[in-house]
Amino acid sequence: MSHILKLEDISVSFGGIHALQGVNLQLDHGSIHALIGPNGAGKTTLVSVLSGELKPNSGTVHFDGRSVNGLSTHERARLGLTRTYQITALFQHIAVWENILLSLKARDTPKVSLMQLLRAHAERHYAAELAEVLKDFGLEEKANALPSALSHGDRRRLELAMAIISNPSILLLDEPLAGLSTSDAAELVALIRKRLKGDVPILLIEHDMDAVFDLADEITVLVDGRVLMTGTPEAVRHSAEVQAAYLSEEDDF
Amino acid sequence: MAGSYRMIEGIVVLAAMVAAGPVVALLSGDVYQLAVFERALIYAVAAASLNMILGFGGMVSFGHAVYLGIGCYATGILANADILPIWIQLPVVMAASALVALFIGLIVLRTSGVYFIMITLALAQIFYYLAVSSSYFGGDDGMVIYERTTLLWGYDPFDSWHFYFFVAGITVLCILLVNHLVRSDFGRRLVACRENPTRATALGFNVFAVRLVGFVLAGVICGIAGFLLANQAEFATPGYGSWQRSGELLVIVILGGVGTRFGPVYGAFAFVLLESVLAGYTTHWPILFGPFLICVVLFFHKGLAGLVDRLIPGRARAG
Amino acid sequence: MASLFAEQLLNGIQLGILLFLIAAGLTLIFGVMDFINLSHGSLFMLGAYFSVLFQALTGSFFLSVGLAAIAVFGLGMLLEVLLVRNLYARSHLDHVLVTYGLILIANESVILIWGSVPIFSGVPEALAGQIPLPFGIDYPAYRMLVIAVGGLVGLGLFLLIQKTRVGMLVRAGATNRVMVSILGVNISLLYALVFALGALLAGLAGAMAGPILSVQPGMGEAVLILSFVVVVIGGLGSIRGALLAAMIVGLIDTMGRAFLRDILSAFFSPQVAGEAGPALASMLVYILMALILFFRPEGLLPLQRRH
Repeated sequence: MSHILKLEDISVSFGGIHALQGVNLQLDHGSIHALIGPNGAGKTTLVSVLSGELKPNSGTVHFDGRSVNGLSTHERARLGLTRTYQITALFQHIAVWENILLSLKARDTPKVSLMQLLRAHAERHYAAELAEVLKDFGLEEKANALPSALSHGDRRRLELAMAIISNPSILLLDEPLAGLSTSDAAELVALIRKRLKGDVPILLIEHDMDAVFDLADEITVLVDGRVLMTGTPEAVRHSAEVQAAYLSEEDDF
Repeated sequence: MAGSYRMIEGIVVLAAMVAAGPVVALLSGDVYQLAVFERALIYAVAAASLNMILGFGGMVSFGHAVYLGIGCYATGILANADILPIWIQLPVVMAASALVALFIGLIVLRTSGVYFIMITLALAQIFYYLAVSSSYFGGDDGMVIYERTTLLWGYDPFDSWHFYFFVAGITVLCILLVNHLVRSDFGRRLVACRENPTRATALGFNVFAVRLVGFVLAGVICGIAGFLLANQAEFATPGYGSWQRSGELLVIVILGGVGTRFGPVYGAFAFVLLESVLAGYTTHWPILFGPFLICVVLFFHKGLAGLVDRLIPGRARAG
Repeated sequence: MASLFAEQLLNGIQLGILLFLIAAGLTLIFGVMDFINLSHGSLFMLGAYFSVLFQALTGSFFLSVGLAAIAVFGLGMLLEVLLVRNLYARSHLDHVLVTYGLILIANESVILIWGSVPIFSGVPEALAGQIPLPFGIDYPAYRMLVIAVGGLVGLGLFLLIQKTRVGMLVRAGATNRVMVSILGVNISLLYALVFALGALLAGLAGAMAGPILSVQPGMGEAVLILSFVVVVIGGLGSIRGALLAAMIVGLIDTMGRAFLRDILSAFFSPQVAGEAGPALASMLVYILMALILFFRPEGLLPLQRRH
């Protein structure tokens, strides 16, 4: 099978509360798989299990045909399992361009080496690529600003830029559009499409249902830590079960 | 533009740092004044190494003086065994400090925040008590070091001027090394791990490894300061590695300005000169130094380096 | 041998009790205000000196201990209001530096007033003797009293924190700072009281330790570092952890100093044992701390913090 990512029977509990129970999920090359569910359904927990920030109580995460359960977060990141954060996680006290540069360097030389001690900042090597990224993500004029001085939309763009340019083999997007206006969200979706050529699969967690049904090839609905159903957007849209459990509370659906 | 400005600033600060001692010694006609400035230079090296992990790596080590002690004892033990050449002494000192820093780092870097502060303190105490109770090396009373490090033919370690420039030369090299390290590719990663360890990990950096490398490098450079101190004081005592000494190093870094390029130099000179001037007036100088310290923390947030920046027109922020 | 062992056991408990009184204040101040107070050891020292001062004035040992504790309570209150409360919002590094400055001031003031020569404040005559304990053991009456008083104060502290409204706020403050501020409590008063209470405990410990230790400048630092070890081993902010850790540290330190040399000499030559015994004994506590933190970085009984 060509599942690049496969979750097998994942369970997580925090002191008696079951955050995830027996979750199975598969992600294929080239697909965009959306994960939806009411607040507290365990979506972010699932992303943390994938990225390795959280160890599951039971179950296995398979990546590219092998278990990555024993790998730490940075080792998974080096394999190309890249995530973004719901609350933007940027390097707050260094400039926007340096944030991007760090991501580029992490992509090329993640390990500590003697060269890094000897070499002064190797900006020149990355100058062209840096300029291109800044331009693509509309951050050219803010290159020297600190992330704390950016608008919410710009911070989201920077967060996304740092994930996308790291050359991921899988992208885990945790609510990348949260708090954005419709037009900003549409622009960002177009940006993701443009930058991610080829068949990089995406696991998308999103509350914006228009975006989810517009982007996703497949949708998994998570309720109370269990998978309620997995199917095409059409199937999910028309499932009575899903509507009862979840969609009824969304006014704008 | 910015690059050449940085370079000029660096040359001016380092030149002033080296020249201060000789100028005072010549003007006062008292060559023993050099000793005060030697101590300031040595403290500058130790503080610069602490500033590297504190200011750039965000690691508040409350046991940094332990490497001062290790460097000092390693040098003293070699010297008293009549092994004097610098190319033997210095590598041994660096290896010893690296080993100790590796041992301490492997434990403390598992913790963070207040735990980090306290456990660096506690581990430093282990080495302090080791020195106190090692009667072979003088125990509590310390150990007299009879010979100074030899360098080349023509260098007389017991000539005041020769020795001063020996200390000053190594100090300049160490300060340049630290400033290079924090500007290096590695230094940028160290800062990233301080700013947001979660994101740094998500990018694929091994935060623990980056911090450990920084921690060990800082230990080695502080060990070199201990090597200089052994030569300067001709004495090794457990007191050099005491927690009070670690506290003083923190004070120097804060006084100079955390995370600034030359803050440790300003801080070390201010500390040592203030101490020797105040001690000249009263043996109770700490009663003046204590309030001074509190005022610095309360009112000069960026330390002396921030003050220097404010005095230079057109430089509102430290680079 | 058995009576020597029992005596050292009691000495260990007595050291543990003193450490608990100091560490309880430290850990409360840290838990509720997130403040690191290096000068806590200086408050201990001042308790000892104040007691000496009041003894000269009043002639009564017990009255002096009480007065000294109250004086340190007042001093702690003053310190909090004038200086410390401005620092809560600052980094831990700033806390360390300011309180380091306070140590310098305290030590030097004590030298200026009382000189740097150690003062031996004698044990009150009524308690100078030994008291017989079961199994034919004799133990100094004064040390027994220290254990009793320390135990009672510790019990009182537990009742205060577990049963009273102020205690409820303190516990809430240590686990969830935001909640307490929402409750509409006078936070600055609560903080001042907690700081002063910590000072009182340290001052009391100092006043009681005076006849056991020699009263001298810098006596606070040795105790301070041991108390930090206690606080960290126990788990920051946790009073129960501090009690457990204080007893462990008190016993291990005392027992190590008393018996380690003999234990080692069973395995090594007398020279090696004589050399390594005292060295290892003074390092024992720190090695224990390193080990505990290696396996349990949060300490033995950490607080369940909720943000």
